[in-house]
Amino acid sequence: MIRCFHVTKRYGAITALRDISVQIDEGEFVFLTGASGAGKTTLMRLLYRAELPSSGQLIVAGRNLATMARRKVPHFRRRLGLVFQDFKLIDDRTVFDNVALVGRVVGLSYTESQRRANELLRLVGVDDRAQLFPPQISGGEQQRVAISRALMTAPQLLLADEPTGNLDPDRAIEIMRIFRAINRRGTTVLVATHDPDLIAAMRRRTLILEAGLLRTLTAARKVSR
Amino acid sequence: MMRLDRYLRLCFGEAVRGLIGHRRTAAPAIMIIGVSLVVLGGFLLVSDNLNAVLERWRERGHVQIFLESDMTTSQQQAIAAAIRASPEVESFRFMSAADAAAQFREDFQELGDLLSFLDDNPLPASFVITVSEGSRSEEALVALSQRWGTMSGVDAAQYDLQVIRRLELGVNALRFVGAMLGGAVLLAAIITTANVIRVLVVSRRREIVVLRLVGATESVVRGRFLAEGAIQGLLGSLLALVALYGIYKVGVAFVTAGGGPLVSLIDLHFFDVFLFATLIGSGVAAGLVGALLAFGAATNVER
Repeated sequence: MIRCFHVTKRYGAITALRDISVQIDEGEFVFLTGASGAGKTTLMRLLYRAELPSSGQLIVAGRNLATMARRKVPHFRRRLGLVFQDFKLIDDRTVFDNVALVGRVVGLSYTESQRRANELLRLVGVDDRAQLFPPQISGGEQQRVAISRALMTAPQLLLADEPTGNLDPDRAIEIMRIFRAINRRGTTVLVATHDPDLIAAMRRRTLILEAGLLRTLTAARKVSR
Repeated sequence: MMRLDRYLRLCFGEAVRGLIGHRRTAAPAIMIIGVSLVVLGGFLLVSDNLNAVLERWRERGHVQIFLESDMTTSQQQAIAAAIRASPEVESFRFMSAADAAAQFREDFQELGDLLSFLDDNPLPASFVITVSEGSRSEEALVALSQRWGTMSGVDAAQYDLQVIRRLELGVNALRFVGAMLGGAVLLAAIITTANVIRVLVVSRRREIVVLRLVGATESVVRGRFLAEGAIQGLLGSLLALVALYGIYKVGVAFVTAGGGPLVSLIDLHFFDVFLFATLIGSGVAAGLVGALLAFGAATNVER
C-alpha cells in the first residue's frame, strides 16, 4: 500500500526527513511515532501529497506521487481517509453536513451521500449528534465525526496524524478501537502518534522516527515509554 | 467525472448557502450591480424607445411643401394638381397659415402664446403629403422634395428623413454616453463583486482546505464561488429590472400627460426579450468576472 524508497525532504537548509525507506502492506495497521519535530507530520504530508519529496520515490495506493500531475491529486486523495489532531471540521455545518458534504463533492448523489453519512455516523457512534454543530460536541465526538468523514470515500488507506493528541486517554483508546475496526474491514491504517501508551495498548507494528531518520521498525510492545 | 446536474446542484446549493450566511457582505455588491444596470438599462430603454419613435416617424413618409406667403390661388391649385397627379402620393392635405398656427398652439402649449405677441402669423401655409409606401426610401423622398421644391409658389419642401437623421445622431450619442457611463459603473460593480467573493473565500479558508483534503477537484472548489458571483449578478440585474420598470411607468405617465408634437408617434414599451436577456446577462457576466478576479484568493489557500 505504501512504498518509500530513499525519501528525503528538505526545507531550505533543514532536512526534515532523511533517506526513508519503508513498506506498509495492504491491510496492515501501523503506528508512526517519534518526538515532536521528528518528521511524523512531514512524512504524513508526503503520503497524502500535500508536499513532494526532495528526492526518492513514494508509491501510495499504486500511485507514484513524485510524478503525479496536480490535477490527479483530488482523485488520488479519494483513495485515502485523512484524520487530523485538530479534526478539521467545519464549524458552521452540522455534524451530518460535515460528513455528507464529502460524498457530494466527490460526485455521489445527494441521496447516496445522505445514506452513507447516516451509516458512518452510526458506525462511529455519533448518529445521535448528527444535527448538532461541532463546537456543541466533545473532542472525542468531533474526532469520531472526522473519522466518519474520512470513511465517506471508502478509502483503501487511512492516515491519521496525531488523532488523539487533543483527547484524554479513555477517548484516545475509543478512537483506536474504531481504527482497529476499520482496519479489520480491510482498510490499511497508519497512525502517527507520540503516545507510547497508546502504541503499547494496541500492539501493532511501529515505525520510529528520530530527527528525520527512520531508526527502528518494531513489533508490538517494543516501544519504550 | 462528476455528473453535470450534481455539479450544478452542489455549486449553486453551496453558493446560496454561502450568500445567505454572508448576506451583509454580499448586499453591497448586489446593490452596486443593480445601480450600474439601472444606469445602463435606463439609457438602453430611452434610446430603444426613441428609436421606435424614429422608426414610426420614418414609416409615416411625410413630405411638407411650404408655400410662399404671396402665392396666388391659381398657383395653389396648380401645385395641388401637380401633387394629385404624382403616382408616389398616397394622400395629401392643405394646411393654411391659420391651421398651422392652431397646430403650433396645440403641440407647444407653453409656447403657443408667443404667436399672439406677433403682428402677423409667421407660419406659412403648406401641403402635407403622405408618400405611398413604395416611395419612402431616402432617395425617392429626396427626388420628390427636389421636384416639388422647384414648383412656382413653393418656398421649400422638407421631408421627415432630414429631421430623423439629426435625431438619430442624438440617439446614438445618448447610447454612447449610456454605454460609457454604464460600463464605468459596471466595472465598479465587478471590482466590488470580486472583493466580496475574496472576503467569502477568506472566511472559508478552513472549508476549502478540508474540501481539497477529501478529494474535491478545483472545479468544485471554485465552482461554488463562480456560482456565488453569478447569483449576485442575477439578483443585481433583477433588482435593476424592478427599478427600471418603476422608472418606465413614471416616464409613461409623464410623457402621455405632458402631450407634445410626438405624442401620436409615441408607443412606449419596456424591454423586449432581447434587451431583457441582455440586461440579465450583463449582471450575471459582471458577477462571474468578479468571481474570476477573486480566484487568486482561493489559489493561495493550502492544497
